[in-house]
Amino acid sequence: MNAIYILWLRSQKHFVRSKAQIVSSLGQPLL
Amino acid sequence: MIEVDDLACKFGDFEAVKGISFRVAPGEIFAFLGPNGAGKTTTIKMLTTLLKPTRGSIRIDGLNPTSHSSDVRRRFGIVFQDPSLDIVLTAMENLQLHAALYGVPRGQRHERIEKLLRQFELWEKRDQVTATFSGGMKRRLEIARGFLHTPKVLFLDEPTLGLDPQSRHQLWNHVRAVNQAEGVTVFLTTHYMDEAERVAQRIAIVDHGSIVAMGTLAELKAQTGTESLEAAFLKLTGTTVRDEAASSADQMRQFMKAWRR
Repeated sequence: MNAIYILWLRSQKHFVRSKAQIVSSLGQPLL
Repeated sequence: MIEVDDLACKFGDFEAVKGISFRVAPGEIFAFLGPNGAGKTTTIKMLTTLLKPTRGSIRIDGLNPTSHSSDVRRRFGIVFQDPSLDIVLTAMENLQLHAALYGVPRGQRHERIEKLLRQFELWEKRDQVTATFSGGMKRRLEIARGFLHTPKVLFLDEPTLGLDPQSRHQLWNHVRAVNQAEGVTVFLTTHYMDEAERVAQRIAIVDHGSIVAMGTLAELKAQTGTESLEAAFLKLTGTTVRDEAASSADQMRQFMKAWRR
């Protein structure tokens, strides 16, 4: 369970630090 | 600490490792040298549970990597030829991730990470994303990560590839310091003879999948009647340039190059 949480946290950090991913995830529903 | 008997590995008709045997004592720094395609990485892969041997036996701290792979994995750290850091994360986050995955107790994590980052002179850079690190800093961080879960053995597969002499010198000083402080056994491969000469207590020279010579630096020099490890190495393995089959990482790089065109 701990390993799953750590890997999830890593994915969140990847997401937050990737501007392109944030822009596309917000922009896609609008489009 | 490491006991290998008659170890062999075959890929189809090609025998990459042909029945090698050696012992590495606890706390020893052991260098495994050989030309490209000699079987060094295949041997490390078998020792680190990544590849099943075709024949022979391996014992790491008394355990068989084939039948006790999880227990064996907890007992060693490894630094691969190719970088394996998460470059989006900071130095601290990379080590925290590794510590959590290796089950380092929560109470000891921060203390252990701080100790290693200070030892490898990366404490001031702990909150910097590793993508901004130089090659030497990334390598130091990878080695610090290898020591994080207090392994009994550290495998270093050409850790100084592509580093400048200053970074190489500094990196080996750090490895030696941790080896002496914590008594970790170090099993390394390198193409730089001066490094093996300076760091290793015993050296094995491997060629065409077999060990052609093994002993201390003085023993190898005496055995070959040469003045340096490089001369001994060339005498034992010859001066012909070897072809090496591309590894999966090389194949990926070639694919990426073709894709960009």
